[in-house]
Amino acid sequence: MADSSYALEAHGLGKAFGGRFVLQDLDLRLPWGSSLVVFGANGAGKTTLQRVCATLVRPTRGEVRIAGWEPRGNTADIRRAIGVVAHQSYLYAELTASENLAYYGRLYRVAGLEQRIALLLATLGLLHRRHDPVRLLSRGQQQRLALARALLHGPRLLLLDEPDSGLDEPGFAILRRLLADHRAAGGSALVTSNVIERGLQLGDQAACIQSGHLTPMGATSSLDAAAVAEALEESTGRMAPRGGLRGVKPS
Amino acid sequence: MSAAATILWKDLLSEWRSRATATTTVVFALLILLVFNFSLDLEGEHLSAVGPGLLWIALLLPAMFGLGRGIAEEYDRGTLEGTMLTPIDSASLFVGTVAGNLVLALAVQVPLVVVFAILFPLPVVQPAFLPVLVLGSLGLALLTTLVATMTSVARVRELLLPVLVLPLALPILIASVAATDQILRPGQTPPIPWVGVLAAFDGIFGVAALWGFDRLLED
Repeated sequence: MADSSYALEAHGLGKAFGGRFVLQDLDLRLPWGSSLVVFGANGAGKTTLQRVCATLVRPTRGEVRIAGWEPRGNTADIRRAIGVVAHQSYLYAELTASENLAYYGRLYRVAGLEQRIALLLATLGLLHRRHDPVRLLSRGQQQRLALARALLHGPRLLLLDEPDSGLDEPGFAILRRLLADHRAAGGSALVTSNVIERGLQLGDQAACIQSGHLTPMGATSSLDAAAVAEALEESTGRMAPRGGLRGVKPS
Repeated sequence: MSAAATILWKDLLSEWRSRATATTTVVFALLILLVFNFSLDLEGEHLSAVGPGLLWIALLLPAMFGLGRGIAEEYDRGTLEGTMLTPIDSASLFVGTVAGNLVLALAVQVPLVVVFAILFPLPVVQPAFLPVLVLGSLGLALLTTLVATMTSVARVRELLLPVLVLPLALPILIASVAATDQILRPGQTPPIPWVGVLAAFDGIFGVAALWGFDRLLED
């Protein structure tokens, strides 16, 4: 493990697609044992930030250190240190829940894989569906399994892009508990969300991203959904989407 | 289990459950053979002269579309990205995918060769044909895996794949047809030079593909 007191560090980070900058001059420091939730409207740059941190896209400018490593030449070490939940579940529809986890577990060379799979499936309430093909699982169950896949190898840094997507209340409670345990064990998480009420429960720090710029908002314990919505409105210059920002009461 | 073997296991298990690629590939190849059988009235010398070419066209076209489908689907469903997020090297991903495509190709092609021998009375079912079939199929698996990865992001990938694969597959096609022709003609010597050409193509292309695959996966 590279020696660093930060799980994530970014300085002047920029990412352009076809000449258009999706991330611009972004600075970020996420200490170990901390969880940052980033709010933003659709297209604000949340997913691109996650993909840069996951080494899936290279930044156009600036520097990023992930779990203490620079991406160039260290992708294998970084990928061992991170667990990713993205918009796509990364699950094979024809394989069962257990087989999907076995596939990824073998690629990560997880020790005691059978027990680890059973433990995660039990934790996420999927043990009774372990022999079912993923295509037969509901959207929420697939999201739970995607969480199990991300946690399988015991990553220290979690990169979670709208991890509550499709989760019912019991599923969301499990996610919240897993994140709290992860932080308590010294791990960190970068969470992106466009559901304010839920997002505030997933991080201890909050920030909002708009047009690729990241603005810190402080500790989540000092924020409420209305304040976040207001800050987002100020930064976007328009009302937050009604369906997306569910924590906002209509004025 | 190595990373490549794990990818092979996953590919074969997925295909065994869905049977989507195998079924469509077999049906496509059978249709080609039937069209040749009904449209060409071949006997004797004519059959011996044209038969190897017909056989390899019937093996090449379905393999090209079928084998390219897997990696394109992985791209669409995001599972390719999921695998790339694990700490394995790109060589393992390439080798595992090519191995899966090779096993699938051979599983489809062996019965097709038997069907070919029934429709066109040529002695293709013989041990001497096996190395030609394996090396020709390996070349196709290498080629389609690499090109399908290149074209998976393209909107017109279904058109791009054959446009790119067919010219590149010509050396495999020429060597496979020539080797098969030599096997089928009575009194001919074993097609060692042509098998050598196939092996050389597979070796050179395999090394080049291993080198280039990593760059293809970068954003």
